[in-house]
Amino acid sequence: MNARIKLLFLLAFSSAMLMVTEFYVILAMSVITISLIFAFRVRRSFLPWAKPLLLVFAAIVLLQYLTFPPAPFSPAGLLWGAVFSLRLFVLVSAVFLFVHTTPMSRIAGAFSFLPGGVSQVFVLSLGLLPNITQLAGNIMRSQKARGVNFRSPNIMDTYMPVMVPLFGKTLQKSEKMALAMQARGYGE
Amino acid sequence: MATGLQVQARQVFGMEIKAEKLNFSYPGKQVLKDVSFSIKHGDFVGITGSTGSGKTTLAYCFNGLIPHAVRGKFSGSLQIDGMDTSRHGIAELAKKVGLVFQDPEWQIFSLSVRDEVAFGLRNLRMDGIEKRTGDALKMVGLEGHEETLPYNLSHGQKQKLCIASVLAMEPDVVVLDEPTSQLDHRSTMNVYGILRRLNREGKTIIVIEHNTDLIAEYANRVILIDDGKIVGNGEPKKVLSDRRLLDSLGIRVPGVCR
Repeated sequence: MNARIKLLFLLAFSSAMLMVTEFYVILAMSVITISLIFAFRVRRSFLPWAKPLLLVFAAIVLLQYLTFPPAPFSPAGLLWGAVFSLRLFVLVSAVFLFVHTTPMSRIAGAFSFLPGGVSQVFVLSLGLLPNITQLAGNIMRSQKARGVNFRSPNIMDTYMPVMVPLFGKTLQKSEKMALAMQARGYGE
Repeated sequence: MATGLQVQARQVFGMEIKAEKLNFSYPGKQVLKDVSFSIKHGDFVGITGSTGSGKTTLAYCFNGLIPHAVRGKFSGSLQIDGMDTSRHGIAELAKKVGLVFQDPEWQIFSLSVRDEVAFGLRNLRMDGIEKRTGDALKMVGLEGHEETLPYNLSHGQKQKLCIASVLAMEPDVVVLDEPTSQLDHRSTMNVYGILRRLNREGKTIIVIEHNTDLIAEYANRVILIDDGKIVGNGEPKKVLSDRRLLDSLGIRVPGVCR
């Protein structure tokens, strides 16, 4: 399917999800989204992604149960928390489905209606993502090899050895990339 | 692209690249010191020297990144077929000189192989983008990968993609900054095979390379740089036989010169 049509469908689906108030409609939309994830065979990459989200949703339900404004500790709070989590889950799943069933180049193409400079920045940012992810992975592995404990509660100990080189390398890469783009006539 | 007749005319009538007293300093550090040389059309030139000797800085001079895009103090002149790089813009020079950077990860940014190769062509508003893109990919053996996400290519393929991106613009001169520094032997031979073919088709190849064996085998000229100055310039087998000079620079004497 054309990526722009998919994007419009995603926006319409997400807006509907935010506007609908009926629990059974939300439930039906969740079932549809999950069925599509199975139908498009992306569930293997979806499951490791979804597991940590379930913890977040459980926390939301619990908080709603404890602090639901009209009546704390009531089943209404539980239901409200469940609806809120389900909405969030469907929205995240729909975006996941869009990203995993559309090549990056087509996603970028879907945004080509934006003015020239803006769509170029969008393509550049998308292009940088896999590179930064790979770089972060490499830095984490090399810091682990030097004994950094990423489970330590001290954020300074765990994140600084990753963030400092990652930030420096990303800036360096952006600078080199700008030179490489200029060398091929960009911006003149 | 230059026709066979144009190539022959250039070979007969004169120099293509002429550097005179090139000096360049980054803030606080002079990197090139009175560098002068000339390169004839159709030459295959290897530039070598120890790390930090100014090779990459010199590469940036060929297509005008220095002085137009890199901050620093520049003096002297570098002419490409009579065009002074300090008086012509990078885009104009990019049609004549293509530059392949050292690390492909630092120059690839598009989301498909086809877009990456077409990028320069679109910037320079060249016609026949589809055909030029296809031809360039075929030249480096990447046909069939047009829709692939460049990050999914192997390192050797990424290097080939960078070469294709430059070749698509059909420049007369191709400058490569350590194109095989991260490649295995087979990929290295593959890249040099492409360079030799391009050179035989009439392109001037300037390659910055640490591996003196490759220079001795493929280049017909070598320029030796140390601390921003040219300390050797000539036929590889002569220049690279000077064991005392090479030892003092920490450069290995190639097998064929021992």
